[in-house]
Formats: sequence, C-alpha cells, structure tokens
Amino acid sequence: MSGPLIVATGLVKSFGPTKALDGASMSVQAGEVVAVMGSSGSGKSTLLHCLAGIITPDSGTVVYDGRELSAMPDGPRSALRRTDFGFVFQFGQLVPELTCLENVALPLRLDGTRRKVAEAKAREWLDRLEVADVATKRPGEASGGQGQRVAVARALVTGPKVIFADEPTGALDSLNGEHVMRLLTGAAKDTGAAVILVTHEPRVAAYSNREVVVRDGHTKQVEFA
Amino acid sequence: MRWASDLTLGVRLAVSGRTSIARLVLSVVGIAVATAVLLVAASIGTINNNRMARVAATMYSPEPVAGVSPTYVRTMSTKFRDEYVNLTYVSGSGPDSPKPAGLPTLPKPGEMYASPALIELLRSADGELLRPRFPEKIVGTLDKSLVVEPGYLVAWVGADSTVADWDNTEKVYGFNVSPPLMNMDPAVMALLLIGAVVLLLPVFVFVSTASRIAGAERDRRLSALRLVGAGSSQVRRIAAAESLVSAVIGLTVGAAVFAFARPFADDINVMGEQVYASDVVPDPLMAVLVVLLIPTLTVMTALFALRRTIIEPLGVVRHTKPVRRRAWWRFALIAVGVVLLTTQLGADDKSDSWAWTLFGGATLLLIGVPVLLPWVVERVAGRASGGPPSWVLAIRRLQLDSGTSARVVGGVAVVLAGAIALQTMLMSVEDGLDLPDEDTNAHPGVVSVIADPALAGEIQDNLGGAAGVRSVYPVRTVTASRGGEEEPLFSVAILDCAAIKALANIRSCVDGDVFRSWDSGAQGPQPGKPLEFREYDEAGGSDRPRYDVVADWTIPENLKDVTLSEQSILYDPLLVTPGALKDVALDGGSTTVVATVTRDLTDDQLEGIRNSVADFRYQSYVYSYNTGPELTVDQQTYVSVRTGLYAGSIFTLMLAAVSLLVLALEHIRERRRPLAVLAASGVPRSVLARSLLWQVALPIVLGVAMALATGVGLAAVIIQQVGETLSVDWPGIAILCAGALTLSLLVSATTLPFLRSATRLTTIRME
Repeated sequence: MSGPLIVATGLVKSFGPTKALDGASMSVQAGEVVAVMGSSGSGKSTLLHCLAGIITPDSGTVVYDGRELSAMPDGPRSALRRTDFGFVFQFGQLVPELTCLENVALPLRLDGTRRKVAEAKAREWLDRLEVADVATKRPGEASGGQGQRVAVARALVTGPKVIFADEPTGALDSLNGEHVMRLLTGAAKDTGAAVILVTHEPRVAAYSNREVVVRDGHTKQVEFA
Repeated sequence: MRWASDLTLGVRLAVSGRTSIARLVLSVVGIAVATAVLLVAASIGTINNNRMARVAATMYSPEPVAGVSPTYVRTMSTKFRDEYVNLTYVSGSGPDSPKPAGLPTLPKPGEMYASPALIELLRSADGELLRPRFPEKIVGTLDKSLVVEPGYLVAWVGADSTVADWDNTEKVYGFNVSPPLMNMDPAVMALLLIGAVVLLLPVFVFVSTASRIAGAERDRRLSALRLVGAGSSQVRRIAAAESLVSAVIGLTVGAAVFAFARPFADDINVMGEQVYASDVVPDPLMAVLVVLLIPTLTVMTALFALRRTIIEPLGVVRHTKPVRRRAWWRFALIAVGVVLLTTQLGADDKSDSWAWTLFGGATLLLIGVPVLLPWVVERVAGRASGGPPSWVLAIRRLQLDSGTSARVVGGVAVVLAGAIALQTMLMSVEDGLDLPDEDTNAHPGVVSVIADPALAGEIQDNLGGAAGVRSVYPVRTVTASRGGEEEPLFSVAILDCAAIKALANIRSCVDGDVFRSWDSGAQGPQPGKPLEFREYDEAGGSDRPRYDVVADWTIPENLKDVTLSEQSILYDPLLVTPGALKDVALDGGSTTVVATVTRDLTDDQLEGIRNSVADFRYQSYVYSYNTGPELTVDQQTYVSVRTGLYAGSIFTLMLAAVSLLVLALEHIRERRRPLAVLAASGVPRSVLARSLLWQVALPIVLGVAMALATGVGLAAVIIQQVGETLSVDWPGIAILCAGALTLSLLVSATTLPFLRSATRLTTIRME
C-alpha cells in the first residue's frame, strides 16, 4: 500500500470560546472508507470540514496528496473541491433552481467542461445511482432518498479521489439510508475513491473499513478486527 | 470560456424555477420603477431649459434700437375662478415693429392669439362667464414657445395706438431676451440640494433592496456552488450575471414604462405645475449615466452582499448564526458626512464647491440611516429576551438574520429622515423669508378695482349694477411726504365718510375729518405740520425714483388717531375726507373702487363682477377678496421649490410603501417553510402574524428614532450654514413619524393574507 492520501495532524479549531477540535489527528488511505463517529457537538463535522479544506484550522496541518491544504490560498482549494473531492451532506447541497441533471453536471461545468459532455456524464451517474427518472426534475420535486442519490451522483461525477459525506443518511428512513450507503460505497469502491463518512449511526458506520472516534475535539482510532 | 460558462450559469439561475421567476419579477418591478423615476429626474434639466427658453421668448427689451419702430406692450392678467389668464396687449408703431418669434404677426385691434387651454376654456360651457372679457376674434393658436406650461391661459391681444398712453405700457425694441441671472437665496438653494438628495436617495436604496430580494435564498444557493468547488471569483461572476438579468430586464421595462407614460405628461398636473410631453426628454449624458448606474449598482450590491457566502459558505448552507456585522465602516460613512457638512460652517462664499460639499455630506449622512440600521437592529435584538411566544419567535429570528427586516425598513427610514430634514428646513427657511400668510391680506366681503381716476365714476356705476354687490366706494390714493427730497414717502387715502365707516369700521366721521391710522413717529404725519403731495415723474432720476411736488397742504390740528383692523383693505397712514382738502387742487394718484359684496357671493357672481368692468380692459384691475399677496422673487422661488418638494415627497413615500410591501411579501415567501412548519406544529396563525409584526415593528421603531436624529441633525447643520434660525416643527414631525409607523403596520396587515397562504400545510410538501 502506498502512503496515506490525507494526513491531519494536531488540528485545533475554535468557534469563539468553544473549542471544536483540540489536537485531532487522523489519516486516510486511497480507496479506504473511514467513518468519523462521535456524539453531537464532539467536533466530527468540524474535522471533516478541515480535512476538505472548507474551513481552515487555527493550528495543525492537513496534507492532501503531499500538499498542505491549510497553507493553500482559496483558489487552489476551490479547484481541489471541484476536481479531487466530492461532497454529500445531509441537506442543502443541491441548487434548487437547477434540475437534478444540471446539479450533477455542475462541478464539471464549473471546471469548464462543455455542457453536452458534462450532462452526458451526469446522466451516466444518475443512471448508475438509479435516479435517471428525476433527471429533468428539480430537487424539490424528488423524494429525500432520490435527492441524496442525486447528491451522491454529483459527488462522484468528477471522479474524485475523496468523498466527504456528512451525515448523508441523516434525513432518510433506514431503508432509503441503506440504499444510499450501498450505492455510495459501491460506487466509491468502483472508482477507487476514499470515503470519509461522518455519522453517529453504527448502522451507517458499518459500511466503513475503520472508525475514527471524536470526543471533545480529540480523535481516537478504532481498527476493526 | 470559463467566464462565459459562469455568466451563463448565473443567467440560468436567475430565470429558472418558480421561486426564481417570482424573485426576478419582484426585482424587475423594483428596478423598473427606479429606472422610470431616474429617467424623469434626468429630464428635469431639459424641462427646465425649455421652460426658461419659453419664458425668455416673451421677455422684451426696452432698450431703443436705431431704425426699429417699437411695439407697445402692456401686460396684465385677469382672474377666472382660481386661475389667472395672462394678457399681453400689443400694438406695433410701424410695419416692422418687433414681435416674438412664436407669433405669426402682431394681432390687429379686435384680434387675439390664445393658448390652446384658453381657447378650449373659452369654447367650453365652463368658460361662458369668461367670454365677455374676450370680445376679440381668435385669429390663431399661440405657439408653444409663448406658453410656458401646457395648461397656461395666455392671450396676445391686439390694441390700438392709444395703448402707448396707458400706464405701465412698455416700448419694446426686441423680444427673446435672456432673463437676468438671479442668485438664488442660499437657503432655498440648500433646500433644493437636500431635496434632490432626499428624493433620489430612496430610489437608489430601492434599487439596492430590490437587488437583494430573496438574498438569503440566493446566499444559500451560491454557497452550495462554493462548496462543490466554485472559486470566490467564479461565485462573484455567477452572482453578477444573476443580478444583471434583473437589472437589464428592469432597465428595459422601466424605459418602456417611461416611453409609454411620456405622451401623457401634458395631462398631468402636479400641484398646479405642468410640463410638455415633448420636454420630458432625458439629458443624453444623464440617460447614459442611468443606464450604466442601475446595473452597476445592482451588481455592486449583489457582490457586496456576497461577503458571507465567500467567507463562510458552510455556515450559510447550514443556517448557522452569521458573524456579527462590523460597525466601523458604517460609522465612518456617517462621520465623513458630518465632517463634510461641518467644514462648510461659516463659509461666506456659497459657491459650487459649497453646494457639492453640502450635497455630498447630506448624501452620506442619509445613506448612513439604511447602512447603520441593520447593525443597530442586530445589537438591540441580540440583547432582547423574554416576552410572549410571538415576541420570542420574532427576536430569535432577528438574532439569526435581521438583515431582511432591516432592509425592509431601511427604505422607509431614509425617506422619513429626509422628510424630517426637509420639513424642518422648510419651516426654518419659511420663517426667514417672512412668507406672508395668505389669509392676512384677504378682505372678506370686498372686491376692489384699481382704475384710472378719470374712469372711477363709470366703474363705480358698472360695479354698482353687478349682482352680489352691496355698496361701492371710490378710494383715491396719493403719495405724500412731510417736505424735502429726503423725507420718506407714504400714501394718503382720500375717501368719504361713508367709505371710511364701511371700510375702516370708524363709527364717527364728518366730512373734513382726517384720521391717522398708525403713528410712524417724527417722520410720519403730525398735526399742524405741512405735507407735500407728490406725483411720480416718469422721466425720473436715474438713481432713485423721482416724485415731484404737485400740491402743498397742512395737516389739521384735530388729527384723529384710529386703529385699523388687520382685515381692513385700507393700510394708508392718513385717511382724509374730501372736505379736508377742499382748498387743495390735487390731481393724479390712483383710484381704487371698492365694492362690498354680499356674504353669500357665489363664484358666478364674482365672475359677473369682474365682467362688469371688463370693458375697461387694461384700465382696470380687479382684486377679489381671496386674492393673495404678491410674492418677492425669493419667495416665489421658495414656493415653487416647496411645491416640487411636496410633490416629490408624496411620490417618494409611495415608492417607499411599494418597496416595503414588496420586501415584506418577499420576507414571507422566503420564510414560508419555517412558518408552515410552525403552523403545522400547532402555533396559532395569530402568533405568527404578531411575530411578523414584531419583526417589522422593532426595526421600524429603531429606524424612526434614527431618522428623527438624522433628519433634525442634518437640518440643524444646514440651517446654521445658510444663516437662518432653526425652527423645528415637532407636531409636523410627530405626524410624519406616526405616518411611517402606520405605513409599516398597514403594509404588515396587507401581508396577512399571504401569511395565511404561506402557512398552509401543503407548503411543507412543496418545499
């Protein structure tokens, strides 16, 4: 196995007087599915956002593929989010004005891909995630489960190396949640993408290769036997 | 290529989806209204220039020109109902006597050219009582160049050669003379400048707020783009394209509305002022400025509002509490405004730089209201707690996002601040100009006719025969002084005892009595002292008007002091009965024939009285009891400015109301899901309604307080600059504040039906 794809060391992040991360560290290998677990307010989402370069830690480093994310200016970090990273959140990530097809094609379009090419690729992914029938609908017209599968399709369409998923099934029932997780981890495995999965549900964490537990801003590695 | 793709995406986001269309429509309406208003404002220069050109066209030069036979010109007016008909009697002394360019020929005696409005009035049933005053044949319609406003009643009437002998007739050697440049009173100029700021600023605030409609929704959308990898510059480009769509459509719609409404300008009468539709043409430079300014302002506002989306997109997507607003730049803006205003304190030279500095300072200070308000609301809401559920819901909402509510109110607050500043300035300037009260010079129950003394008897007879006239009294007025060229002149009224009793309300009078109505001290008329009657010498002196002595007289020892009522038509220091002057040969002076009229005099009877002396034309002038006093040039300018400002203020207030309504509706639309969720969980609609009301009420109360401080403060600084005394109209300001509060409450009440629709449970499904 080659070296880790992402290495976070000694991350500290405070929001006002509240310390969300207090020396958290973890690493992720390429193609690995890692579940970040913890109770509400433990700092797991903050850790995910630091790893994805969405927020910058107060101290500590995040190295992605040999490059230190926390030292990068906004432009290259945004470019990484377009090309190397994919995101699936609990809600709010789809643009309500665009159709599901346009939403999936969006990261490609933002990167300058021609519309026809981008939409053809987006259609493939919608098909693969079994939501081709909502391609022309807007997110508000699709069900919650369909919307999350559209979000997964969008996360995967650029062929990312890492998918960041923050409570991806939080708003879904167990059946739909299982379905989304199966599709997400299956597609990630097929494309060789690593998945960093924030959840507090053991049922969802069961899809991962290993767990990182966050408590009071600290991390603890849990290897499966 | 990337740029094009980003811009296309922005356009796509602006026009797709039901909510996008609703947002677009609201923004377009806002921007279109602003565009139309700005295009009208950009036309004011052209309107004014063309108006001045028309005024100049009728102005004449009395300077003799070699080889030119003068035209004799006598101007006067007659009143019909509440309007004046301006008459110019003309008679050429030679075949090539000068005439205004808009007149085909000088009308011959018995002919006249009339303005379209006068012709229409004379031909209408309503003009029946005016027709006797115009026996002349209408030989043509006056060219627009000789009629200042479309509704003006104007006639150029042909007169015979005797016009040369009439009083106040001018020998004219040329027309179309530029009116003399007048230095406007600094106070009126300041009023005009602040008026421009106050009337135009809300338009720009309106554009800004319109472009921020559904701002929270847009922020979340753009944040989502940001999270999937859109760079900050990309998001800016997308946002710019999105706001450009509404700006361009709004601009086009606004221009179309302007073009469509323009032909109807002739028919619009704003507080007695009218303009020609053909004059409503925006100055090309100003039009280009509007076309550039509106999209620029819209895009700049959209980009300025992107700060949070760029810096913390995740927080926006997850609806977390936003970072606190920064105060320094808001206060800095106000501080710069105050500094600009105060640097001009004590400046003697009221030059262009003074005007621009004043303009800049007032603009910054007024912009400070909508800019500072969100910060103040945020701070106050942050400290509030407790109270009933509706209050808690409102406060928590304001703590999370007070921007929308503050924006809703900001437009009204800036209008209110401007209105308070204007009201205070108007009151202070009015005090300084000593504007006469229209009622003080009214003489209820009296019609007076100023006439040539030779015609007094005839006029007296005619008036006496008119319906509604009770009695007729001739009052002759002559000029006098105590003797010596340097002595001050005063007027002496000569009238019989019947007239004195009726007009001066003096009960005891016998022929030979002399009354002194006010004691002007040593220089005034004194018993037993000599008096010189004087007559104006038209040849006159060059430096001061010359009055020649025409008779001498000694004031009788039994001079009686009387006090005249303020309502009396007589105001002369000396009232003399004819018997007191029986030994004096006194010619000249002027005669006023005063008619007392019945208490229930009708409008038609008043016109009948005017018609009874119509035959005397220029040799008589009728003042009815409701005739106001003549105003000085400064006073006239002030009254015009005041009329314009009142009209503009009404329009601006309407604009603010529309803005408030649009934004309040948008507020409900933006919040419909949480509102529906609350309704679904059992929160009564009345609580939600009160919560929405609190969300507007708190900012509006703070806005009113800020507007009050800003308005009075601004007026105080400017009034000090123009050397007037500050006079605050607290009752008027209280009415304005109450009006703004009522307006906000009314708008909130208007939105309640929409709240009912928003809280339908199906809304949750639709979301």
